[in-house]
Amino acid sequence: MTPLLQPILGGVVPEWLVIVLSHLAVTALVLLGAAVMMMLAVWAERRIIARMQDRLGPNRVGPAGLLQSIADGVKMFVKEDIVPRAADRWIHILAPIVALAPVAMMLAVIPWGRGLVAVDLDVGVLYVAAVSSISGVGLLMAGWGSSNRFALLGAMRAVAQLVSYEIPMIIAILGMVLLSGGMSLARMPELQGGLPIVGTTLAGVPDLGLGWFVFTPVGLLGFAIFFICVLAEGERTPFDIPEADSEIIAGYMTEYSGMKFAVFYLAQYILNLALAMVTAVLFLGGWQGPGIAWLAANGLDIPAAVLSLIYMLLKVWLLFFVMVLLRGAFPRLRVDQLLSFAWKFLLPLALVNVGSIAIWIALTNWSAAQWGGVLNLDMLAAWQRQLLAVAVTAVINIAAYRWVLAINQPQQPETPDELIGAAQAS
Amino acid sequence: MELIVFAVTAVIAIIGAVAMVASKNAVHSALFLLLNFGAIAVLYLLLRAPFLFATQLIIYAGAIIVLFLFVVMLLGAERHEDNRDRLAWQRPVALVMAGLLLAEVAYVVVALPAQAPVTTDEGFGAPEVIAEQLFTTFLLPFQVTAFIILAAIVGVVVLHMQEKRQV
Repeated sequence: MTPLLQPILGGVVPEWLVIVLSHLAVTALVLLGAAVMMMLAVWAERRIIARMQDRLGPNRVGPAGLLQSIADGVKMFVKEDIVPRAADRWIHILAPIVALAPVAMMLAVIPWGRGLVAVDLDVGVLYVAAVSSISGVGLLMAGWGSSNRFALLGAMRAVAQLVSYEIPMIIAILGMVLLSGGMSLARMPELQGGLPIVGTTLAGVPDLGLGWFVFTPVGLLGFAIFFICVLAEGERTPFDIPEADSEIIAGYMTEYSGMKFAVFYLAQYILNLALAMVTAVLFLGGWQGPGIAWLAANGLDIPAAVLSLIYMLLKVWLLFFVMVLLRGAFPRLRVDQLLSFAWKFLLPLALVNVGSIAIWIALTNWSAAQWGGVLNLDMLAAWQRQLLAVAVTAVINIAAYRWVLAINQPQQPETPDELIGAAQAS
Repeated sequence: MELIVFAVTAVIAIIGAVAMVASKNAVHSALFLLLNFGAIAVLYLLLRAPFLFATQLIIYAGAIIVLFLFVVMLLGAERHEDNRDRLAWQRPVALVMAGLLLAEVAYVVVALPAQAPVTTDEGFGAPEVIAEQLFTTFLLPFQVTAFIILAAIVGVVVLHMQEKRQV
């Protein structure tokens, strides 16, 4: 942005002010984009859920109800600001801000398109994990500061869930860091060009931008683990235990109304969208897609950037759509199911996946000297080694999946069908 | 520019630390500690070490503070703090040790010659550099730490299993 503003403002204002202004402009753009996407996401979710439940959903304000979120925002804004008498005033007021700020900070390192990244941090992936872990403090503050038992229960549930799902999530990310050899989010999409499965290893074939990690066995398992963890981190429906409205009213948000509630709401939707963006960047190639490499090679940088932005947004909205579908289709889990799923199912699979990624790297990259004479793959072409790695890791991952599934079979009958079957058998 | 950011961050860090000690409520203390940790993370960023920044946030702000808050809230221990000291010798010893630490800092500031800033190159605190140090120079401490953590994990599992058997 600085080189863009330099010729316009260069003579008028001093150098440092131009730099500050350009950074402010980038920040404003990113935050504005996120807020607009959030409003669209709320509208889309309400309409899709309504369709799934045979209702109409909001359709009065604006064309097809598109402006409903703005109307809701106005309503929230004019509501009275209530702080319960027993509440810890400052903690109660600060909680929504502490929940929103880290989520907004996550957006800084996400590449929106080819060359469209606000800050290219060389530890971007770690930064996302670090910053998102702070928003848990905001939830605890909300739950405790409200002096409400339901709120405290909700906050406890929320943090237990966030902490347990962070572990398989970070291990799934770790695998991708191994695979890409770096922690920069901005570099991830660049590594996912080429064709499905073989990636860029096949010479003489046009770069279709489809070598996404999700098309490899290790990437597919990583994607599944990561996306499930995203659902849990974003408190989407199969995992919306922290705010289970039929059990504990609204969890940590029970005592919040008006703008403070709106800020929580905003934080949650931006978190969902940001996590969908991270998922897209890590596993679905980010802004990669057919045509971008061709445009960039012919010097058409701006069309390439626009096309890549469109690809990225398509992937993000597709992931968000899947989240909404899951919300419409699944009932809520119990707390014990939630925790044992993370610790007994996702965590072992994530660990096995890191192992198979290490094998993948050894099979595709190591020379005979690095293998120490155990194996010599030097005479194979790059694409042959890639296919060999695909085959080996696919076997490992499928075996691990079946094994973890087998050891997690419930010992006692749980569902009504099973209970009836067990009663008849005995 | 950097000096201004440093001054603001340092003041926030000191306020957080002092308020943490002075605050009567355990939850407030934990939150002020979070403020302090966050400010220190920003100081790492000023040293151009984003890896240390992220690690500081993820371990201290994300994990340890959340654990503190969780335990304090779960036990409802935030207000029941006894003003009487159970260990009478604790306060004088703490004062003496704090005085020693302060004297050490004063000695470093006054006696040692001023040095150039620790960092000038880009590679300072980069993940690759830290990993190389950990797995070569500091391999033994690293492994010892790993074993201690493993022992703690095994301990948690064992404690949990005993509890289950009694029920």
